[in-house]
Amino acid sequence: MKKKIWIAVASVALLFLVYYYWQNRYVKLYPVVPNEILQRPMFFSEIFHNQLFKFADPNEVPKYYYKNIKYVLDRECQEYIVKNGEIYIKYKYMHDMELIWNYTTKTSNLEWFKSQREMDSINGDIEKQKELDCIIKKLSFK
Amino acid sequence: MNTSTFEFGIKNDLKSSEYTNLFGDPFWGEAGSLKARILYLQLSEKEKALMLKANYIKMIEKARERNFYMAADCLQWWLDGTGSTKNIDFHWLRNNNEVIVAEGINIERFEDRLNLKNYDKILTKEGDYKEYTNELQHQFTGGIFRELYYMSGTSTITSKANFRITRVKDDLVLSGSIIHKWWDRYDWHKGANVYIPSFGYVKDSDALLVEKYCGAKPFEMRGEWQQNFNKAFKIGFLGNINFKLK
Repeated sequence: MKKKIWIAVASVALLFLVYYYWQNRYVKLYPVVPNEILQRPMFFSEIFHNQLFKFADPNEVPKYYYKNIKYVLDRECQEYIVKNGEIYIKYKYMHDMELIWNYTTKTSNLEWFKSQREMDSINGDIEKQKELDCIIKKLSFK
Repeated sequence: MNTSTFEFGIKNDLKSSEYTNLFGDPFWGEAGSLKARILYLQLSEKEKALMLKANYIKMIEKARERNFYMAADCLQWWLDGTGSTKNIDFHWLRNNNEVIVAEGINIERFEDRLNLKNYDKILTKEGDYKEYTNELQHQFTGGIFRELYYMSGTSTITSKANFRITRVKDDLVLSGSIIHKWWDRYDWHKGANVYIPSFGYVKDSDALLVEKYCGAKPFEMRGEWQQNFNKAFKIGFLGNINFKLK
């Protein structure tokens, strides 16, 4: 009986470890855009929420995505690592397609960068302002 | 607009119920009216559009019978070709549970971000403050039995937060607002379809045909409201802080 309990406990622990590893392993970050769904979900739309989004095809990637994505991730306090010039984030974040869609759109959202600039100005973060000015200048001429 | 029996139907000796049953209701395994179907296949594109328009008029009537006034008004707005932007009353929007849930998701995401900012470590002296500005978007779909589903399908809520976090003694006081903007474009996409009770799977291509020949026009729908906050949060024993805005 004791042996059976130990096996059950070990199995649960193992499953938890696998789940924990799966959720926290680092995966490559890809830009995400809205998916034009042809068959609208009738039931449990929140469960199938990721269906509303897809990984962007090369022609759908916002122009300044690669230039600004690191800046956006830093601003959003999103943890990530860089390996061989590529950005990796934990699977649990990458699996939230809407979250990544938010990051993707922000990379080219001039108004958002301006609002961050204004915030830094009030907060007296002069160092960050210079970097933001540079991004805003580029976005203004797109 | 006159939403009574359509002139085209009278000319061809079709009853309004036959427009409705044109494509049947595959959800309940009902076949469409054979008479209406045969006639429909012989029609030109323009005539088909007129017949489909009659179907949409019937849909508006049915929606009003079910007290789905907003869904009916929007379909009418599209059918009339009014275009531009239709402002949707935010009270009506917030009466829909899906909108409250969507609003809550954005608020929770702001909370997560605020908690990661470590304000308890940055704001150390009495009166120290920091501004926090950010924007988040959430897409959501109305429930199949709810009016929002027929009015907009999938829509977006954009929330803009503007807070000031101030150190007051051992508390952090958060004041400011979140402006929620709900929006959706009332339009159709070739290849898509939607299930509507009593009408079956209605193809978006039908609506595009009505747009082409009958003057129906896509338009923008918008609604906006503001939530104000003025809350004090205790800094925990270990110096941590947990912002809870809901």
